Amino acid sequence: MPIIGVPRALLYYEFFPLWNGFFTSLGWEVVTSEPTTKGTIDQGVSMAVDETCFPIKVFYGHFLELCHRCDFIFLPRLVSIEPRAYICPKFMGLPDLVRGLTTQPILEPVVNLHSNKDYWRQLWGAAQLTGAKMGIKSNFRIGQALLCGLKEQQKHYQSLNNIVSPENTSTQKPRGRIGVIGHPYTIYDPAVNMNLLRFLENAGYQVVTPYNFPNQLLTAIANELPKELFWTYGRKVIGAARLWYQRKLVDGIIDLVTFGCGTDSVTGEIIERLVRRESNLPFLLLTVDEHTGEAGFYTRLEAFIDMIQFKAAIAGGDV
Amino acid sequence: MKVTYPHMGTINIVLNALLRELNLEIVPPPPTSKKTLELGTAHGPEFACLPLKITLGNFLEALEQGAEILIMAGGCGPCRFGYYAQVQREILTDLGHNSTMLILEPPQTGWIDFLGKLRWLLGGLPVRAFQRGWTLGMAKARAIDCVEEELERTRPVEALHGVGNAEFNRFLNQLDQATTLAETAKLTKTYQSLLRQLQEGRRASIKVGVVGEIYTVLEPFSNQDLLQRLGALGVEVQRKLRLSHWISEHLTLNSRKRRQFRQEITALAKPYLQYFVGGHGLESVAHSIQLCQEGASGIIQVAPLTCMPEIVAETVLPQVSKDIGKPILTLFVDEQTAPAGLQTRLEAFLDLLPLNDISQHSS
Repeated sequence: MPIIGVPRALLYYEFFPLWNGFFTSLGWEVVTSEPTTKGTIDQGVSMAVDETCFPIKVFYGHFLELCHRCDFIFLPRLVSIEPRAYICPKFMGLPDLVRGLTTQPILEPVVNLHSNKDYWRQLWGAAQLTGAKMGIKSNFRIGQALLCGLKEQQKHYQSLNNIVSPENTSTQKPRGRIGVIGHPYTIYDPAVNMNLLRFLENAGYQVVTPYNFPNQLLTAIANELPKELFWTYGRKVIGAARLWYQRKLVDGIIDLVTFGCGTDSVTGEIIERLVRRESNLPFLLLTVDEHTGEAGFYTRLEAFIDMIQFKAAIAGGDV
Repeated sequence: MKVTYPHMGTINIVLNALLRELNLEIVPPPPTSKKTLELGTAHGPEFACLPLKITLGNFLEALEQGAEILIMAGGCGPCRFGYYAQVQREILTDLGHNSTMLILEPPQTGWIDFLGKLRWLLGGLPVRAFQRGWTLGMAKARAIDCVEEELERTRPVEALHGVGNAEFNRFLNQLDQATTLAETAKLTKTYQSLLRQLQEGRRASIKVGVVGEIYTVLEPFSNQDLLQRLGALGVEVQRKLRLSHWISEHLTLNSRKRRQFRQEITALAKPYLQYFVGGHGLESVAHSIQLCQEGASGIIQVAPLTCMPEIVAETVLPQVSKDIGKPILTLFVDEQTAPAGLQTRLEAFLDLLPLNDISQHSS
C-alpha cells in the first residue's frame, strides 16, 4: 500500500482533516512530518532563498524531512479556496518551489475556486485528478472519498467554532479574553509562535482566534471595507479584528505575523489603524522569525498583559 | 481641481498628455528624491514593498504642493499592488489630509465602477476628449519606449558617457510639450537618429537581459539607476518590460490578443513555473529564457524586497540558469540599498560573464 506524505506546514493546519479523510477513504496510508523543531527550522532556512517568508522556510524543513518517508508527496497548488480571493502568490507556485529538491513524485492538483460559477466543478476536478494520478478511475469511489473528506473538514470546523460563538459571550471569563489574529500556520504551530497560546492560557486568559468564528461572518465584516480584500486570510484576520472590537468580545488583540509575510504587511497596517481609530483596545503586533528569542518575546507579552490588567483595574475602580 | 499621480519612470509624460485633454489642472509630485523615500518610509508599513513607500512619498510631497485629487491604480490581486491605494488612503486620513483618492480599478474587475470614475474625470467633456488624450498618451508611451531602446544601445558605446542620457532627457522635455501625434512622431525620429549618430556604428559586446518587477525596472530611483550603471559599464541592456507594454497589457480590452500574449509566456515558463503567481513572476521566468535565446549573456532580476511573485521566480531561476547555461543575478532593492554595494555586485557579475561564455563555447 503506497504511502502519501503530507508536510506538517502551511495549510496542513486548516485542511488536514479533508486531505486525511479523502486519502484514508480511498484506502491509502497518510503520514505527516514530525511537529516543527529547531532542527526543522534550521534545515528549512538553509534550503530556502533568503528573502522568502518564515512560514515557507519552515515548510521547506518539513518537506525535506518527509520526502524520504513516503511514496507520494501531497502538495496541492492552492490558488484559491473561496470565491474572489487568493491565498498568496507563494501558494500558487508551491510545488514549483520544491520540485528540484526531490525525485519523489509530487501530487499537485490545482485547486482554484476563485470563480463562483464553477466552484464544485473545480473541486471535483482536483479530487478526480488526485485519484487518477494514483490509478483510481472509479468516479464513484472518488466522489465517496471527497464527501468523506468534506465531512471530516466540517467536523473540524464545528469543533473549532464550539469554543466560543459570538452570540454566546457569557462563556466563563477566566481573567479575560485575548484575541490572537494570524494565519493558521503561525497560530497553531507552537514552535513558530514560541508557544504563544499556552503562554496566554497560563497567564489566565482565554484565547480566541479567527478560526473560532464562522467564515461567512468574518468575510461579511471584512467586506465592509471600501474595497473587498483579495486574500482569504487577509479577510479572516481583518474580519476577526473588527468583529472583536465592534462587539467587545476581547480585552486585547495580538496580531501575530511572520517576518516577510507580504499579505500581513498590508492587512496588519490596516488593522492597526482601524483598532486605534475605532476602539481603545490594547493592541500588540508581534513579528516572529527564525531569530526570535524567548526573552524579548515574553517580555513584550508580559508588558501587554500588564496593560490589559491595568485597564481592567481602572475600569473596575480598583485604582 | 488639482490632480496628482505617483511617479513611475516616465509615466508622468503619458498621464500629463491624458489629463491635459481633460482640462484638469495637474500638480505633478516633485521628482522622486531621498526626501520622498524618507517620507514614505516614515509613514508607510515597515514590511511593505518599496513601491508602496515611494508612491506614498510622492503623494505626500504633492499634497504639500497643493494637490487635492490623488489618482492611483488598483488591481485584483494576488499581488499587493492592488491594495496599495487602500492602505495609502488610510495613512493619509490618519495624517489629517482630507484629499480625495481616485482609484482606477482595472475595467475587468468592474465596468460600472470604471465607467463611473471615467465620467467623473471627464466632468461634462465629451468622451472624445478622453479618447484623444488616450491616443496621444499611448503614442507618447510608445515613443519613449522606442527612444529608450535606442538609448540603451547608445549608453555602452558612446564616446563620452552621459551624452546619450542628456539627449534623452531633452527628448522627454520636448515630448511632454508635444500636443499632436505628428509632433510626437517627428520627435521620436529626430532623437532616434541623433542617438544612432552617437553610436557611430559600434555595438556593445556584452548584452544583459533585465527582468523583474515592473516598478523597480522602470523607476531609476528605486533601482539606483541600474540601467544607466549597466550602460556605463559597457553593457547593452535588453528587456521586455516597457511602459507601453505594461499599459496595454493592463488596459487592453482585446481579449484575443491578451490570451495570445499570455499563452506564449505560459508555455515558455511551463517547465519551471506552471501557474501564474501574480505580478510579473511568470514573466520574469519566461523573459529570462527569451532574452537569453535572443543573445543576452546573462540575466539580472530586480525586485523590491519581500515581493511575493518575484520570490517565487527567484526560487526557480537557478534551475533556468542551469538549463540555459547563463548566469542570473537577483537584486532585491529596498530603502537600505546603497549605490556602492550595488556597483560592486554588478561589476563582479559582469566580470564573470565573458568567462562563462568562453567555457560555454569550449565545452
